[in-house]
Amino acid sequence: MMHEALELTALLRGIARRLATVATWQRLARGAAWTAGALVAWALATMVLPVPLPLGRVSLVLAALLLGAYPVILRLSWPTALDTARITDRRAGLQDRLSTAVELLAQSARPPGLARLQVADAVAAAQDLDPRRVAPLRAPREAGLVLAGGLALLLWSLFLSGWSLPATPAARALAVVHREGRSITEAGRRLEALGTSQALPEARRFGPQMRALGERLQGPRMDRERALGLVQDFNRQLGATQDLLHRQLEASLPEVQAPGGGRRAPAASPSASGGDRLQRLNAAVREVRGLTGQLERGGQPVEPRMLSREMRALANSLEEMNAPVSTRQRVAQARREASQGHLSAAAGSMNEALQDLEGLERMAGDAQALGDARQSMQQAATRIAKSGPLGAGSDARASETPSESTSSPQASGPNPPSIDESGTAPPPPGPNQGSLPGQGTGPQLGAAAPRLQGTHVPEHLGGTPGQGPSTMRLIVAPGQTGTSHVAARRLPASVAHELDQSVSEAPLPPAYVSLVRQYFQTQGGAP
Amino acid sequence: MTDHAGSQEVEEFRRTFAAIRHELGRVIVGHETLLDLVVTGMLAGGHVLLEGVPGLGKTLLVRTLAQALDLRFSRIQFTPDLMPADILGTNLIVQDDGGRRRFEFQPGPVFAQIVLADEINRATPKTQSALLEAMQEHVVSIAGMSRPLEEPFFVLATQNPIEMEGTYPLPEAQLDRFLLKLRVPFPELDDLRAIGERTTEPDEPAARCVADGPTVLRMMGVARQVPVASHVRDYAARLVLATHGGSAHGAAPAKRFIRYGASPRGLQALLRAGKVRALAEGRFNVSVEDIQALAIPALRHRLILNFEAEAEGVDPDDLVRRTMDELGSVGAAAGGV
Repeated sequence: MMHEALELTALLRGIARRLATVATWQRLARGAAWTAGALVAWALATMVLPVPLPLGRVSLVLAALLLGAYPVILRLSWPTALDTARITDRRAGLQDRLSTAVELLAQSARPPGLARLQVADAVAAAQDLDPRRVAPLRAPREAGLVLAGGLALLLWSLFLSGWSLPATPAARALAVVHREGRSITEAGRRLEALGTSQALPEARRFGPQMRALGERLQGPRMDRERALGLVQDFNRQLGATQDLLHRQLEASLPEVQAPGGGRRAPAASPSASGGDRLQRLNAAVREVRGLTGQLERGGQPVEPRMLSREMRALANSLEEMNAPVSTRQRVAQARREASQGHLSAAAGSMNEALQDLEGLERMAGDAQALGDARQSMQQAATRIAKSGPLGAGSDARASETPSESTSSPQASGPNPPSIDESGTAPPPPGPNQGSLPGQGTGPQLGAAAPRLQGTHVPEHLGGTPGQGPSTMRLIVAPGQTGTSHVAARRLPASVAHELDQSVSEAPLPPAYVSLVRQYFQTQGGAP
Repeated sequence: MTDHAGSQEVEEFRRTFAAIRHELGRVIVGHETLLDLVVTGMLAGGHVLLEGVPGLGKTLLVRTLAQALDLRFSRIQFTPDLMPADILGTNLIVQDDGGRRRFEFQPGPVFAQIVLADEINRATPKTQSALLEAMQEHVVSIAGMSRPLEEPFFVLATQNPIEMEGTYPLPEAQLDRFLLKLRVPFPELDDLRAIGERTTEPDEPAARCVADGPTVLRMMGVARQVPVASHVRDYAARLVLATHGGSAHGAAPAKRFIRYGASPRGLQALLRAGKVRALAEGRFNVSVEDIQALAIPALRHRLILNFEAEAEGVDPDDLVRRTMDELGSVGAAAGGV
C-alpha cells in the first residue's frame, strides 16, 4: 500500500507542477491583458488629456513585476494533492477514483476493507496516465489579447504618440510646450550670440544646445512630461556648470573683506553676488585697459605724476576687490617700471594683468549668462508644468506671451540698460567693445569707449511707431533704411567693422551697445 | 477484511448483479436502464415505485425478480376497499383442540421479502399508510406487538399515472419512503416485436433463481462499504439543497417552481444507490457521475411543486435536470427512467 501511495503521490506531483505552470501563465496573461488594455486606453487618452504615457518606463516596470511575480504566483497556484486528483479525475475520465484514493490515504496509510481495493484500483487506473495529456502546457487564451495590446501600443508609439486631437486639453498643453519651445529657442540664440560676441565659452557651448532643445520642444509629437524632463535635465546641466564657474571665481576672486574685518554682507543670491563681482571686474578691466592704452601710446607725452597717481589708484582698487595676487604683482611691477621710465615694459606688465582680469571677467560673464538662461528655463518649466490637466486652460492663455521680457539673457555687463532717475550718476562702464564676432582680437580689443559727459534726461516715449513726432526706422545697411519685411543678410566685414566703430564711439551705455550688436548678429547670423 | 476476501465479495457482487440482470433480461424485453435501477434500488436496501400505464410489464418485472432471487414473494392488489388489515394481517380467534379460544396472528401479505404493491394509488390513504412502518422500519406493529419482517424486505409498488378517477395520490410521507421512482416507458418498435414474439410462443421464458436472501444481504453489506469522496458527498448534498427554493443554495428553477424540496432521505438515496451503481460498474468508489445518473429517479418524487408549476405542467424530471445544470454538473444525466 505504501508503494502505491508513493506512486500515486509522484504522479500527482508531476501533474500539479504542470497545472500550476498553466495556472500561473493564465493569471499572468490575464493580468497582462488587463494591463495592456489599460495602457491602450491610457495611450488613447493622451490624445485628449495631457497625461503622457511613459511607455518605456512602464514597460520596464511591468516586465520587472512579471518576473518578480512569477515565482510567487506559481507558489500560490500550486494545487493540493486532492485538487490535483480531482482535476485529473475529471480530465482523464477516471470517475473520481484518484480523489477518493487521495482522501482515503490521507485518512489512513493502510485504509481498511474496500477502501484498500479502491486505492489499488485508482493506482492501476493512473498507470497509463500521461501528465502531458492531462495537463498540457498550452498558451493561455489571453495571450492573444496581450499580443494585440502590445501591437497596439507599439503602433501607437510609432505613429500616434504625441499627437493630440484639436481643441482638447492635450492640444492646449502641447501648444504651451510649443510656445515655450520657441521661447527657449530664442533664448538659446541669444545665449549663443552673447557667447560668441563676448567670447564666453560656456555660453557658446550651451547656446546651440539650448536652441536645439527649444526646437525639439516644438516637434509635433512632444508631450508635456517629456518636455518637462528635457527642460529640467538641461537646467540641471546649466546649474552644474554655473556652480562650477562660481566655485572657480570664488577661488580666484574671493569675496571682499568688509571694512570691519569680516566679509561683506552676503549677496541675496549667487546671481546677485556674481553681478556685483562682474561689475567690479568690468571696472577694473576698464581701468587697466585705459592705463595700458596710455602706456602703449608711445607718441603721446605721458604725464608721469598723473600716471603714477592713476596706477596707485588702480593698485588700491585691485587690493580692495581682492584681485588675484599675480595680477596685483603685475600691476605693482608695471608701476615700478613706469616710475623708472620703462613705459613699454610697464605696458607689457599691464597687458598681462589685463589678460588675467579679462579671463576672470569672461568667467563671471559666463556664469551670469548661464544664470539668466537657467532662469529662462525655469520659467519655461513652470509654465509647462502648469499646463497639466487642471491648469491647461488659463495657463495656456497666460503663456501666450512667453518669458522673453524677463528671461532673455542680458549682456554680460552688469549694467542693464536702465535709466538713472537722478541723472547725476556717471554712466556705467561698458563691456568688451569695439569689434564684431570673429573680427576682433578678443581680450586685446581696443581701448574703452570714452565716457559720456552729457546729462542724461530720462524720457519715455508713448504712442505707437509711426505716430507723433517720433518715428522708427530700421537700419538695414549703412545709409539704408527699410522695414522689417526686408530680408536680413549678413553684413560685409568692412561694413560691420565700420558700424562697430560707430557704435563704439557713440555715447551709449555699454549694455545697450551689446544689445545692438547682438541684434545684428541675430539678424545676420553669427560669423 | 483482507484484500483477498474483499476482492471475493466484490467479485460475488458483480457476478450476482450481472446474473440477476441477465435473468430479468430473459423475461423482460428492453428497459435496460429500468432493470438496472430496480436491482440497484433493491441492493441499496430501498423500495422502488414503478409508474407506468397498464400492460408495460411492471408486475411481470417484479414477479421475475422474485423468481430470480428465491425470495418469498407476495402480491397485493390495491383497491379502494382494501383495508390495512388486509395488508398487515390480523388477530383471529381460533379454537384449539381443547376447545379453548385464543387470538392468533394471521400475517398479511406484507410478511414477505418481495412485496408487489400493485396499483398502490387505488387504495385509500389509510390503507396506503399501513405500509409506512413496514417500509421504513421493516417492522409491523399490530395490537401493541411489533413483528419484524424477514430481511431482505423489498417493496415494489406500481401506479398508473393516467387513471385519475378512483385513485388516491400517495401522500408525501409515503412517497419519500421509496428509494427510487422509476417511470416505465412505452416500448420501442423493436421491443414490441420481441414482446409479441416472446409472449405468444408455447414456452414462455422464466427466470432461474440466481441468488438467495443471504446472498442479497451480503451484497447489500458490500455495497455499504464503498467509499465516497468528500466532494462527491458534497455534490450530492448541494444537489439536494438546491431543490429547496427557500434555501440560500436553492437553484433558480427550485425558487420558482418547488414548494418543498427533497428531504434528507433523498441524499441517502443518492449515496446508497450510487454505491451500488459504482460496484456494478466495476468501481470501488462513488463518482459524481453516479450521483448525476441517479438524481432524477432518486429525487423526482420528493419534490413538492407549487401551484405555478402545476399550472404550467412543469415536469419534476426537468426541474432536477435544470438544477443539476445550474450546479455546473458535468457528464450525462440519467435517461428519463
